[in-house]
Amino acid sequence: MTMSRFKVLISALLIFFSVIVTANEANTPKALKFGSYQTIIDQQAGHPLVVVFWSITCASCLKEMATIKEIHQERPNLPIVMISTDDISEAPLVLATLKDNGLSDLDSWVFAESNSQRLRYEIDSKWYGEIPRLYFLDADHNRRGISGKISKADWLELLAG
Amino acid sequence: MLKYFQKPMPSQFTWLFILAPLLLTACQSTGKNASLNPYHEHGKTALKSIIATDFAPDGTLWRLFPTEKNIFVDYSTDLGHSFSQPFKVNPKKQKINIWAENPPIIKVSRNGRIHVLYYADEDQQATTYFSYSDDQGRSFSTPILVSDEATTAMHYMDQMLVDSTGKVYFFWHDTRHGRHDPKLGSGVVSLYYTTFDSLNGRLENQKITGGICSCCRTATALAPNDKPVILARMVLEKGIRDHALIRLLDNNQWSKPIQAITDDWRVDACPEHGPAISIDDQGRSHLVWFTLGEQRQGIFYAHTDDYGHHVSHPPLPLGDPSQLPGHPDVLAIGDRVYLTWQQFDGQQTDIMIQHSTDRGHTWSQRKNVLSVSGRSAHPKLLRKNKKAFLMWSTEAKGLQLINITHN
Repeated sequence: MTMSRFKVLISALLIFFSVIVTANEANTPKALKFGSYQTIIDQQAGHPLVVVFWSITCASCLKEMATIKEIHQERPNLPIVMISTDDISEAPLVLATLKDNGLSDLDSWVFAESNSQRLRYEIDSKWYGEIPRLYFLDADHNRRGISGKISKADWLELLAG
Repeated sequence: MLKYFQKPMPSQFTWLFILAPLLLTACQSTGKNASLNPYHEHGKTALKSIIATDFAPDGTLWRLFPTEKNIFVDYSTDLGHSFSQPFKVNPKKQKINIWAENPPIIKVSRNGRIHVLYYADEDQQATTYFSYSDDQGRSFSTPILVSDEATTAMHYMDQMLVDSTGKVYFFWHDTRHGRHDPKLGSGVVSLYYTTFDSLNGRLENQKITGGICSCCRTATALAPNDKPVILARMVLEKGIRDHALIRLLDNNQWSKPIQAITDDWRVDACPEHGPAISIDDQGRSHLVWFTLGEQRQGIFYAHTDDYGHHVSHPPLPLGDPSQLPGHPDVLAIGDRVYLTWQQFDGQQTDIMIQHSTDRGHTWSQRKNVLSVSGRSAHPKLLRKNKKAFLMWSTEAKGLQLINITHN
């Protein structure tokens, strides 16, 4: 009896810690390396998704986050991927900024290649690096790129295709 | 480091073996032996490969290079082939903050004073510190904050100019007004400035204008009357982010911003792509900038003889549009005008140059002079009396300096 209680306690603790670990994993921004973007896209094959490039030093990006939060609340099943163009060493600040803006449950990444220009080029060879940069992908992954903060009406129009 | 112990005398060998770790430690901590200093290899260890350079009137090349916790300064009398021992600027370790659009600055005045401006994270992210040396770098003044609201207002994109009398001007983007015009969208800050000279130890901050696009470096240059001229990306009506000129008038008042360039770039974004300006001795301002406006996209050159009221038209497009041309710089020396910018083909970054011998009317073919794959800083043009130099810092090759003077 004691043994089984002990087992239950251990199992409960294990579940408790695994939940914490999983939650942390989901929240901590991941390192965006060469090839990561394609992997992110491939994981959502057959589904529409939105990829948002932003930075902790970009005021327009921070303002965009209020709209992103609204869209996320209204369409929790729409994958929105947040990719910070800051250096990976800024990951704690990136996470804090996402938390402050109610977006910490979104899939989050940070640039982690010293040659960020090549990383950007791999994602879009026409992109000069201006942010926010948003990509709307439909179910067939036809992609539309937009630079600059956009309104909620623009979001809805772009999501409608 | 091994070089130092390359050819020990046999009788000394054993002693050196024992003393080596001690000697190394001692030399590293004092930085007295250049060959032992890890920061000596042409800036290869500079934080994010970003350095700053300037020529002194005697032709000495001064270099600032940041590490994670310190700012170092050294100099070269052989055009960057070898450098002096490095001198530390900040006595107390700081978290140095740096990015390519927001680099530190070094300027040497006519009387040889070395001025340094750098960013460090303190109460606010990325506030700037100023320090100077009057003894060829051997000692630096205690770094002081440039902003008098450094703990409550963000500021960045600082510029520093030193006029012919040694008066130092600082310009920066400041968020202290916080509430901007909501009609203009976000990312709008004010342009501030202050001055420093031997009589004025206190850096009294003054506003020049609001409506500045927060995340594009502002460019500054001295006009022939020794007063500053500013080229900045402003946020104009309907959120258009185009460039304007502002100058300090003879009555020491700032002119109103004059929109010099009309690209019609309507965007609420951080382009992170500031302009550059150089003014020749007859007062012609040579301008280069980046835009993705309705009118044109890419990087461009134009000039103006009346500080933005009339500007040469159409602007000269620079670079290959398929290779993301960006981050241009310009330098005018007499009738000569030199341009540089970077391009990227997906694998390597190329540095291009182009020049004019008639004050910007006609131009040479563009030429690729340097290339690298991997991280690099933005290319910069430097003046050494009548000569023009291109300076580029990369992770792979460190500091590269080439004479691009066209006679």
